[in-house]
Amino acid sequence: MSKTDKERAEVLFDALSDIDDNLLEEADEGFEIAKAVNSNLKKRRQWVAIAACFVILVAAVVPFISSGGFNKSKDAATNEIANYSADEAMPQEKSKSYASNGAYDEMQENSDAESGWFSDGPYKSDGTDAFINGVDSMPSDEVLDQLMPTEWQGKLYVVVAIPHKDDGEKFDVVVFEKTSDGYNQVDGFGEYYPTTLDVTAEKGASTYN
Amino acid sequence: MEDKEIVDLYLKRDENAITATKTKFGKYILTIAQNILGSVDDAQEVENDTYLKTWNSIPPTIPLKLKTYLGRISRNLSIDMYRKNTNEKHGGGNFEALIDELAESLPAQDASPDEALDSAALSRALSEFLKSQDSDKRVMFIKRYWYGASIDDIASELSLSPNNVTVTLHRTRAALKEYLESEGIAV
Repeated sequence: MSKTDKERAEVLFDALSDIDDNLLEEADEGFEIAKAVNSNLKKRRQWVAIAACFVILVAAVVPFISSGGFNKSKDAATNEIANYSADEAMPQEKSKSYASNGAYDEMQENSDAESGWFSDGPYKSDGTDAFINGVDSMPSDEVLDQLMPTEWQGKLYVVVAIPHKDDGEKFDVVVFEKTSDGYNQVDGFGEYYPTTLDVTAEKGASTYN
Repeated sequence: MEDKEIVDLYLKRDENAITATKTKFGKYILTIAQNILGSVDDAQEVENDTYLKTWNSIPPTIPLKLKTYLGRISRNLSIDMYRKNTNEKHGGGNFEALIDELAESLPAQDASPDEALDSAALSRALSEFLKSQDSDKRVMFIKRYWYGASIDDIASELSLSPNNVTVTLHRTRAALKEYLESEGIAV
């Protein structure tokens, strides 16, 4: 379109501003409603996406459950994890990495305030009660081997969503680092419901990409 | 609050007029601006400017229909802002698309030998043309080119497919071109 035609079209567009009020009134009925409907449709699509993500995450956890990953007793698992110090579990370099992309702050903001999960690192500083509230047990190394590891800075990590034993709608997202001695739990984002799990999992996953 | 009561607040120079306007018409004003500008920040600026301009214009103006009065201010301010942004090379939104589409309605220049009408006369001619159209076509055209609504929004509101809306708008634009040429109206 030539510039002249564009200018002429703008004249037409401007002139439309002053058409009869009655015409405008006739056309504005439902105007905002349509916006709301489309907004609702978008929200519905977002919910579908969240639900899809939820299904994928659950599917990732199924092998863990079916292989008896929860059979390990809480005490045994707690002791095992308590062997790791907070410093080992949350290296400073990694902590900075979280902080630098904002994901860590966001997770901390969204995390369960009572768990102290982020302020103490993945395990509480006294080395006790390493598990996130309500999670019965952690996946075994064999189970983690079956899940999809992601490489980040030359290391392999697995991000796992673990459903709470007594509340199937509540999940914890836990990050394991693969080492020559097996898997170390290095981080966890506690007590997420599926709505926020979607966001968390994405953030967590992207952190390790 | 009734529109007349809001206008009375403006006439009394009561600043509650702006709050009442925002409560009742804020979304309407913002939607028009956002449709044209495509930017939430710019649209919010236009919304605020609309309140200011309304405050400064009532009185002396006493709008008979407050809603369309506000919509018109929002639309005009949005167009001004779009042009300003374009000059500053950070334009966006639907404006370009609307102009491109509307260019299809331009009468051929050699088919309209009369002098270009002034804006008010052209507005009256457009009103006459739109009144001559079926209600559905008219509403669709105004939603698109006055309110800047997207094809999807229009389709959703009128329970039509987007393709149906696109085709109907195309035919209405062609009809407008024919009307302008037959009336000898130059643009």
